[in-house]
Amino acid sequence: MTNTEKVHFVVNHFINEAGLRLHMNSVPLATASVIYHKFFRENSLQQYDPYLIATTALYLAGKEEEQHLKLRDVVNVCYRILHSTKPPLEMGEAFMSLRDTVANCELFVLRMLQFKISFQHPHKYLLHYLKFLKDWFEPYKWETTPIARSAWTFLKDSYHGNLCLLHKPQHIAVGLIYMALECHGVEVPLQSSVAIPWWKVLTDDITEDIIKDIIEVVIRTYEIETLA
Amino acid sequence: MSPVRYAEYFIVFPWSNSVKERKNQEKSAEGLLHLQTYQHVRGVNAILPPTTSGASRNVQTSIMTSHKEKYDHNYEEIDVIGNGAYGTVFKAKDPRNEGSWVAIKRIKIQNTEEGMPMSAIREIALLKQLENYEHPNIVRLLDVRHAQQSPTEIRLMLVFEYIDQDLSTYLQRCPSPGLGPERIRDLMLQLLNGVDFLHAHRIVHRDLKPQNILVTSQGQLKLADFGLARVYAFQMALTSVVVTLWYRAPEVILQDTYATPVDMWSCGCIFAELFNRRPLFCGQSEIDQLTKIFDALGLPREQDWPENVTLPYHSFKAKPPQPINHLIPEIDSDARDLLEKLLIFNPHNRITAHDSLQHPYFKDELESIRTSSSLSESESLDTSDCRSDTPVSK
Repeated sequence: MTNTEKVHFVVNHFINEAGLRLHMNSVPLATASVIYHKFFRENSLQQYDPYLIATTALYLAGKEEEQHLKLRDVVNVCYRILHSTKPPLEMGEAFMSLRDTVANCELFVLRMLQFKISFQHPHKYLLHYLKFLKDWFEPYKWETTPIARSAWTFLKDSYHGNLCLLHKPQHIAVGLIYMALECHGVEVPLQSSVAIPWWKVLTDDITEDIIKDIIEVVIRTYEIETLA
Repeated sequence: MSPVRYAEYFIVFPWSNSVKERKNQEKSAEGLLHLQTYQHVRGVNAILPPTTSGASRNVQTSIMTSHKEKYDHNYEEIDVIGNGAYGTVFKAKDPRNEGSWVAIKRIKIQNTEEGMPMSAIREIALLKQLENYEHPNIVRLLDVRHAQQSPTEIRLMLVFEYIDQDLSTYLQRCPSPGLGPERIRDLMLQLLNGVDFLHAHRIVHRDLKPQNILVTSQGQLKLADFGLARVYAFQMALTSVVVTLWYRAPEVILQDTYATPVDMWSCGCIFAELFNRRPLFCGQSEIDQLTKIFDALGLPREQDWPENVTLPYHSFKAKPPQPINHLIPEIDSDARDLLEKLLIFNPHNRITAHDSLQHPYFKDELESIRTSSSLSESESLDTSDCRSDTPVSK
């Protein structure tokens, strides 16, 4: 458990909180986290302030996913979360310099990421896979077991770590459903009588090792939480 | 420019000293994550023994480091290729790839208090994403960087692969009596294949013309200059450059709403040009362009005339369509059918890129579409014909 991971965990939690206060949808929020993780895959925490990068990532994600946020709102919300005991930011020199810093940093992050800020997220795959699996379950069983909600929660929480950079979105979706099923002690019906397991049907190139690795990464993220 | 230089722009950010402060707050704050499921996770840990996957991650990190080194270098600008409506295009050397040639397009975009415009960010990100597919009929975008910024504008450099001839020079260099039918079919197939790819990725080219269709010395066709219409929009307003009307679809000239069918119209005009080696409709003004189109294809039916356009239907005289063979004497029946479907006035009835690839005109080549190795094959096909299938190229 490295210190870097802890910092990234805390900062991504900050992204999540700011995103919720800015009424961002799940997908732009995921984009913000991916931008953040990609940035720090190439750069060290000693060089750049993670909260500045996180704030910029939020703002940039809003633009990329066409959920445009006002820069003013982003700066105010982020400042408020980080300085909850101080009075809110007044319009003035401090505000202006923060705003210009984020606007400049946006270009810097774009350059660092080579403008590659358009990502495929696991969300849409997760949704379709869950709809597909639902038809296999007895309706009562599906209704009473929160598989979908758990898988969705795992996905949201996974952005506290860098799972999104390690595996394909399709694989992450399958891995998290697998994890949710295990958590609730549920099996996909009729699995014992079929030749191809359900996860292989959803995405062809996944292996059991990949699923294990995904689950391991998510568990590790939850472990950091207890220490952070 | 190194990242260090960019650091100069930053004002020291007062948020960083709050990290510790924040951590203390969090300890006291109630449940951070969505914790109701967290209890179960511990159970899984026991079910699945941990695997060792550290190795794969190390590989990834090393790729990223080398990548970082790679983009800190400058291109050596050699020559100005063109001064287009959208900015200057340079021919440059890429010191990284043994000095291979690249084409650098410099564009200026608006800088505001809110940073770079959303449309510009989205479109460039989309182009970068398309690069993952490495489509054979799309020009490669090798690099994007911003060269300079001021409070009012950002200068972007788009680095493309360098191809020295476009379709119009290719046609000019082609000796009489022009391209052979197999070569035309192959070029058309590549053109429509590229357009189909763009349309499948929600990009309308809007300005397809021989000048921005590139042809490599191996006869591979590549589309250029697409996807940046909204990025360019800012600069367009500042330059008075005459944009050619010859490949414009009628709904664009009439200023009706338009979508992907506009590119299919342009493909039709280019198709005819491949046979004739001169443009099909050379209008001098918007009215003249429409008149020339109707002279050849006949006045459309009144019910096909778009609503809410300023130009009334009755300002044009009724005309019967000319037979296509008058416009293009040497066209065969399959090609004629495809051309007619591309040049349908009503955009809703015009053939789509996807359907056009299924047209009988391409039936012999359908096998080779996916392999894209049709080039060498088709070139060797009609050696008996006196026509040149490989016009002179450097």
